[in-house]
Amino acid sequence: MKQQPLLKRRIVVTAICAVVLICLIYFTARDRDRLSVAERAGREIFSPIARGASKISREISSWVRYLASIGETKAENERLRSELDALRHENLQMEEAVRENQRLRILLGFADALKGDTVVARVSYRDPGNWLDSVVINKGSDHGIASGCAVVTDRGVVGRTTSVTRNTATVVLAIDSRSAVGGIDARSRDLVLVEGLGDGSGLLHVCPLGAENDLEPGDVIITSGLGGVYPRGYVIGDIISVEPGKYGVSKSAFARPRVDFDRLDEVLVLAEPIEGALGEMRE
Amino acid sequence: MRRLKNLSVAFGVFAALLLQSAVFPVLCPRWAVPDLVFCFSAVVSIIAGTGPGVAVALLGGLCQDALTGTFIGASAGANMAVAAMIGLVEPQLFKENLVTPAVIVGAGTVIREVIYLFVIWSFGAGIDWVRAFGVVIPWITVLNCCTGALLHRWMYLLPRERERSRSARSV
Repeated sequence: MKQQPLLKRRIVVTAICAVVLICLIYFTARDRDRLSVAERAGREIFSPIARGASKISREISSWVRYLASIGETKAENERLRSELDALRHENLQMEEAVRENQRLRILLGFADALKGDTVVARVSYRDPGNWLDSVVINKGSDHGIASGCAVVTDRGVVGRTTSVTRNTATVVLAIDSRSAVGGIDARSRDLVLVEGLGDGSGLLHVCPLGAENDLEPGDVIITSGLGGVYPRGYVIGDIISVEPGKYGVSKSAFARPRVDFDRLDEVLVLAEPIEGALGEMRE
Repeated sequence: MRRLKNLSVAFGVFAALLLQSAVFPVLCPRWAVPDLVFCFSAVVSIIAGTGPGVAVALLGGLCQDALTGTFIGASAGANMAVAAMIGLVEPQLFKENLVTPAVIVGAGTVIREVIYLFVIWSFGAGIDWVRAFGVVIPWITVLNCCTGALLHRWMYLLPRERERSRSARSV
């Protein structure tokens, strides 16, 4: 007899928990500009500690890799010496090309594509689970970062910021299934939409926007600047395979990003990226 | 004494989150990461039953979700469901060896991941189901089995051994 009220209470508690959790998931499933006070405080405390732990791990990892590669170092040294000679020669040619480029820029009155502020940030920690591709960086609203800012490295597009606290910001990586970047094929000039596969392969799905397109393996996809997040001209990735669409009418492709998302450490946040992209469009 | 226990649980959850988010991904990039928070709550359920297990699952899961601010409650819900299931069979479990926690945590991991994936998929996340069931879940299950067995030894078997040897010495 006593067990029935206990069972009833358990059922009620379980039901309440389920409803509360479903509501929480529903409200946090989309990108959020504002985080709750508890979340902000938790992240502000956790981020520097995680950054410290990550730094120590990186040191350990590099030492282990160094010790493992000592045997190969000698052969590599000789190879690098010969490579250095070739690169010196190449460098001279490049310097000449840079000088020529500068002259041409002045001639054309070409302004820098990036007019806005940029912020250098470091990755504090990654999503603790195995299913979402996002990282948290150690700069936030105090440094001029807002939700929806583009994040890049010298190799190309990294992702965009979503929830931001004073000293942290979540970056949804370009390889995440929630990410979509407007791109353009640098060779054929076809407009494409680049989506993260989010399957752990680290690849991107390239969907052409027009019915007729000319995508080929080896083509470089760069940002189109039309989405309003990324300025034009940043490398998204290289096409590695092209497949016919469902009915053979259109084509879609897969691209490998140039950014190494597994070893991401320093990134550049474009705090005011839209000026560069949309300004260019309006002109 | 109780406050000390609560503190040690909170520290355990914090350490698990730190290892999961900042240490393992750097030391072993491209690898699946063991879900330490889930293992911790599952082992607490095996040792102490439904109540404490579900409480640790709720605390750990919410912290885990809050770190990146998306799908808050998904990990907590999945962890809590499995902790509650383990708590239901806890009185029948033989806890004196390492096979029991390894099997329970392994089976629990599969259920947990299925619940979690279904929930985030329902709310719009893209999931590659073939890769999830063919690669990631088996890997996480193996890693979690080992972690669960180690945690069980550390949290249950070792203290009991110490207690036994202490009482034998006093006799």
